[in-house]
Amino acid sequence: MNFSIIRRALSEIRQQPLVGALSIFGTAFAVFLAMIVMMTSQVKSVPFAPESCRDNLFIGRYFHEAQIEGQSASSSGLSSAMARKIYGGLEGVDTIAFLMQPWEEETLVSNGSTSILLRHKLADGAFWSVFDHTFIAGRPYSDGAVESGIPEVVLTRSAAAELLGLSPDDALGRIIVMGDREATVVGIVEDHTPLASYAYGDIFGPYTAFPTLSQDGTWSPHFGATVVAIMAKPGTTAEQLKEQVKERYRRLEAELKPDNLRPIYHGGPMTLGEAVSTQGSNSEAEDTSWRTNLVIYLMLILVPAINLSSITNSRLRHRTSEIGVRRAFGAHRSRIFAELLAENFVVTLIGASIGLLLSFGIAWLCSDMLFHISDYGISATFSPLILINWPTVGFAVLIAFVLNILSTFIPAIHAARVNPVEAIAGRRS
Amino acid sequence: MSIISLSDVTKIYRTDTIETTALDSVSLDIDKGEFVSIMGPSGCGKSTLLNVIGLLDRPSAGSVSIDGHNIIGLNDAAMADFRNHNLGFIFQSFHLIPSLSVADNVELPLIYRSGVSASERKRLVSEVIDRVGLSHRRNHRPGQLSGGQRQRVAIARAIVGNPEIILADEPTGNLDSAMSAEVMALLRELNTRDGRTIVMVTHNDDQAKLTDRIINLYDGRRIS
Repeated sequence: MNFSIIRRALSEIRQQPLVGALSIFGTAFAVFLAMIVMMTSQVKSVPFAPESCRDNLFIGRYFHEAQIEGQSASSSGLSSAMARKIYGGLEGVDTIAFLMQPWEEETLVSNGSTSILLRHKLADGAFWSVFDHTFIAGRPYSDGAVESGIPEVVLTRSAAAELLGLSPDDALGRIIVMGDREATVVGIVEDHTPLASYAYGDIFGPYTAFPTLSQDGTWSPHFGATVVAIMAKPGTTAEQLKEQVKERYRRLEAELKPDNLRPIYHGGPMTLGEAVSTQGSNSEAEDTSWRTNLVIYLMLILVPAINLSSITNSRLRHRTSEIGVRRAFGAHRSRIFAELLAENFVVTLIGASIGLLLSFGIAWLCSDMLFHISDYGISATFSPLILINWPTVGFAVLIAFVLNILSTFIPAIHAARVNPVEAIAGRRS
Repeated sequence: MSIISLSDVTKIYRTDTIETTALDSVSLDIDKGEFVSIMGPSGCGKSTLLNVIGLLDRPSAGSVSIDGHNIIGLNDAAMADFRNHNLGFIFQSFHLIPSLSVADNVELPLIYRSGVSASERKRLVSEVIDRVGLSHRRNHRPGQLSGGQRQRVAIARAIVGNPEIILADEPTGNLDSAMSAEVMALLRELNTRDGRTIVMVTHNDDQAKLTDRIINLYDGRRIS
């Protein structure tokens, strides 16, 4: 695309301001809707703190077993022991963290006199290596605390302020009560977004120190609430990890055989896309979000494309004589077609830029409605900056390109095929 | 030596119900460097003849040869290239592109010609704009110009690619007498000084008398 195409496109908008504005705002609205869908989906997989590792993050979270002889089968979350057996020590892994995500994620935490409801995240020491929370005072709980079940806890800034009424530095060393155990505050982290769902919490502690809250292996040694967060080394593929886990399942099959049980493999560890889409503990790990989104995107693009196509057709009708003159002076049909497509792409890009900005603005203003931030308690924050990334901008350009092709292709072909004599006279068959 | 040669050219327009013969077995030869006018009453086929010579329309029958090339067998793209290199058009209603500046309008034939660099285009455009006396208007839009100035821009556009032949369809039809005289003087200069062949459709006897030869049409037939 050269500058003369841009100049001409802008000039055409000035020549037909109403039609130009309709084209731009029609495109902007279509891109805005598609971007809102894209953003709500994208926040589940693009990296941002404290889940900056998302590009290399894999999740293991379910276990499914059935009787060899008999009809009975069970499926649920993993116990920490089973999680370690299946996912511990895999090759190609940088760090692996075991964290608890029980049904009850909130618990009453007391400062000795009053209690407030906080979201707890119970995990091992590797949790702080996989996820990058920002410490504003103190330190993470120690590996020793995890090994020995010593109740040390880390609070968020807001949780510390709400629970203790103290600044981060003053909150260190204070005693709180969580899950019937007294615990020492050893660190304070910055508030963060609940869209980082594996990393999010108001209060963090070693899962070994709070067994009643972690619900680990309470009704079966195989089942619990453990989620495995695997940060793979760069270059390690999902297939390489899945192959290793499949082999673990083969070994597990032999191990469980005496108990008349066989494990059923469903494709773990899951990519983040699979983790978002997978419906439950007995479902195959499969990333279906793109299929659903594709249908939505198609609808969001096709409907405006049809309308924009009529507007483009109207714009080109006004230019019939010009197209005839261009043909008279030697323009090939293909050149006219390409020029019209390029000019319209400029208009579409302007619309897409407005739509993109609009979607960022609306996502920011309506973040609670779109992402339910306030449902996640006192530490939940939201920065629209997490929505701004190259895949999002690239997607807006892609949408603009597809919209341009869909809305301009037929009118441009029609316009390029006019008979020059008829066209110069302003007639178009 | 003929630069334009038509032999038994017939053009019939057909719709579902009507068949109209716009040109009926027209033959003519125009020599290189001639300034020829085509005259006749409205609807006699003057513009159709100019369109056929200008490769904008294909004849229903007969043969057309321009500068020694038989153009009947050319495909659409080859005809476009031929027009670009050999023909320049001037229209009664100017047909300048309103969204482009004078310079951009004049540049039009050159942007569809391969192998002409941007700097070369700029030089050629400046040259012809100077020649038609519109240097001070080069960045203006057509809407900011008088009728005579617009037609001078159209003439500049027609000659910027240095074509052998200029086809002018009633070039003074929308101009007053003073501006018409200006345009005719410019066309005459292009003919005598540059040796360009000019074919002009006109209703104006006085202007036709200024040309080397008059071809008269009546009901699609050549009568003189």
